[in-house]
Amino acid sequence: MDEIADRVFQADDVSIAAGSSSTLQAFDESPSSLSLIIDINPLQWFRLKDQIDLKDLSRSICIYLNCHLSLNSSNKVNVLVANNFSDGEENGGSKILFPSIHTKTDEHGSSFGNSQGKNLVNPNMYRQFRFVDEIFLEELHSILQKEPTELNIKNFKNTLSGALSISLSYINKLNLSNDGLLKSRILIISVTDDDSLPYISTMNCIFAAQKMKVPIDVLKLDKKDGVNNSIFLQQATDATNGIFQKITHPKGLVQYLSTSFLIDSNLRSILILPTNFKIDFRSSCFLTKKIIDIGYVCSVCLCILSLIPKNHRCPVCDSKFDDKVIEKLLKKPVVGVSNTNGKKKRKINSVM
Amino acid sequence: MDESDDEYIGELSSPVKNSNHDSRPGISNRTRRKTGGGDSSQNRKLAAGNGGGYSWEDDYQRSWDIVKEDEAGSLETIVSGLVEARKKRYLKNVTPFQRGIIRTLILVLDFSAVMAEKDLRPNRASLTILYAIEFVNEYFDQNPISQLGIVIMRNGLATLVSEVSGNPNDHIEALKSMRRLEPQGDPTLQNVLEMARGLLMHVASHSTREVLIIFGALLTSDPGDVHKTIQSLVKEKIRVRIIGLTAQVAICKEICKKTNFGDESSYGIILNEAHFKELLMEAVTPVAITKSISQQTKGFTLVKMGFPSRVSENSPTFCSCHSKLVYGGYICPNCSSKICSLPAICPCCNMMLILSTHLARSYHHLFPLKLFNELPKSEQYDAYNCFGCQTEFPEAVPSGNSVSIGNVTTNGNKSKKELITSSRYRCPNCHNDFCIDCDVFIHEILHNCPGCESNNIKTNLIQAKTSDLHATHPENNNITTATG
Repeated sequence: MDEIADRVFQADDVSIAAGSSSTLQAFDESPSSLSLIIDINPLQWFRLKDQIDLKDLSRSICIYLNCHLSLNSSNKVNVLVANNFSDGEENGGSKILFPSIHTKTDEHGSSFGNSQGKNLVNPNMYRQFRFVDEIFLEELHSILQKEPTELNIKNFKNTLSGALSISLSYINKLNLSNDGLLKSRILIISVTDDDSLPYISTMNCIFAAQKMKVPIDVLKLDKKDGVNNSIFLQQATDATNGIFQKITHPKGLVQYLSTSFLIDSNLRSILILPTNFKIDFRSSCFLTKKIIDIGYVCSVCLCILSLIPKNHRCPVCDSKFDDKVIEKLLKKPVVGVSNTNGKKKRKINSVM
Repeated sequence: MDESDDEYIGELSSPVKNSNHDSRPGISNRTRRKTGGGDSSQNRKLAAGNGGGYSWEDDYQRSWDIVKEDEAGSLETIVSGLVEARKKRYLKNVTPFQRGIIRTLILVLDFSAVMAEKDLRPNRASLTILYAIEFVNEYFDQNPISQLGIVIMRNGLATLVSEVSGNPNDHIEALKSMRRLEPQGDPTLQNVLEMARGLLMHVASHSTREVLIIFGALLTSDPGDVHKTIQSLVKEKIRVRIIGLTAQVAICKEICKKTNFGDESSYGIILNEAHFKELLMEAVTPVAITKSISQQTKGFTLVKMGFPSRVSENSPTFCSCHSKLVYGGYICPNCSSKICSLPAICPCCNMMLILSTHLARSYHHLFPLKLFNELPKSEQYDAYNCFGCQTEFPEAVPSGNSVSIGNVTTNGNKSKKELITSSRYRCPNCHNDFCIDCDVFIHEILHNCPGCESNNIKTNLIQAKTSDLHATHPENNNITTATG
């Protein structure tokens, strides 16, 4: 009995081992899909205007996309933008640029792209490259055309999580139709700090990516003296085995893209890639927004508080806390010899 | 065969009984047609009335027999039907209940002689261990700040296999080492419940106390009165969930009913392997706090937790949890001792150490994503592509097929049949349409709507969601029960 059971388990182990070795062999042959998310927050791009503009970026991106496509004939790309502005209609927000919905019909026909695109891309380029580049540039152009000229704070929200959600569902569909043979990864080109990023939904995206084994890479464009403030994205790369790279010399963007971010996720273990050891895992208080390392957590809604609320009620879910528990938490450690500084707020109680 | 069956039910009616497991006949006489409700005798009648509805008396079911062509010779109907059936599974209740997010669960595995039965392949014990490993993984994935302990019943004794802890690897190692263990002797509910009670005794009040029993046998050999144990379980607010592998047992039903405030839904009998897994995975979702519990509690607790920072070192140092030399780890903010993995309770100062990401992992239980609504069939739709994966939706079919002539008519009819549904599922908030694959993915794995996230007009999600929670429980007494 036991032997039978054991054999089954051993067979299981062996098949797993065999599976991994066969995938090892298939490493260089298996196609991969790349999702590129470009943050086009105009305010942040303005801040970087001395170093790089969107034109330079799109030039580098075209090269990068072509590089990826040339590695394997069945490699796939999709490109999204995360936009912070919208006019309240369908414009703005996060959007998928490639594969485009609008130019879907052109895929089989010869007349893809209009005159505008032809000016941007060399018509003698390899068809596959030209197709991607043209659509990407056209769509980006049309989005930038619609960008509002005046700032409306109401319509301002970081939609990176939306773009991440869309690309994850796109990858999910790809996996379903390819029986999981396609390796996918996501690259975010970010210019914005994380302050405006919705916490829960971003975290949900990170966990989904973790579950799907999709690495999230982040390329952060920043000023030389810029304070690195992308905690969430760093956590995202850490949780999904991605690469986080902050770039302060964007002139060599193509080189960064092709050295750090072009390599398939399978081959990463072989290469020495930029790593980031200092990741801030501390949390911020829901009330004071202060970064804390010891906090109180409400057992009902899991909100993090840096102090015990005065009315003994959770500020988020309004649950009443047990007075006894609060009393216990407020109790300071009992020290035998009293300190002469007199900084203690409470007298030592004899309760214990 | 009938005789032995009768004898067996007779045995069941007195649940606390010392049995000799040598008289095996009853064990194999089990029905697979069992559903959660109805006691065993009823079920037997039902099964017998069904033309001998035991699974071994059934015709062999071929999976290809399920697929049948419709009149037009198309498989589309059945395929789309199967796809729809898959969708049905995810229509869970999404009302934001208050849930016991911080849990302590004792997983009890039956390891008595019946577990050597081979009705589940390769045998019951092996499959149970295999599923238990998956359960442990999933449990810690979805409840990162919870604790788990594993107990087995074997030879009429309860044996602790793995101490209550928050580290999934310890439990999985323990479960893997059990593969060599041969199922033996009698199961014992009382011993195991008493042991679980002892393990859960010291658990802090903010944590739920749960027991999950996988029970293969139809008998229990107890040293005393199991009813007294049930009483003490109820008193200590321990909730028991039982998964039966054989047939319904009266005492199990009673345990579940009494410890879950009269709700019997926590006792399930498996129909097949897939259903076994389904029942097991149901236990991964944290239980909703019922009205009666919340009325009993005076107030909720605030837990002091530390958010340690990670360090990387060039030379290894000892960790305080295993006393092993390791490179890097986490430093407890309270006492500065080094811990190798999180979440953990600091062995030095006893503070709970977690990452904020662990808390974020549990949020989707508290703020579930609203279900998408299936769009009614219509002649025209707004959206042509799924908002998530950009796949094209099937085109709308005009209802009046007046242009059809000859064989075109049949074609028209056929395509009408194909489109039983609109294949569009709309988010009630952002009014974007999604395909069925994205709908399932969004609700199962992603837990946020790409449409709502992409639309920047919407208010901050956290604000919107917290106000949701407000709405569902303004007062402690107002919390709805799990059953609605």
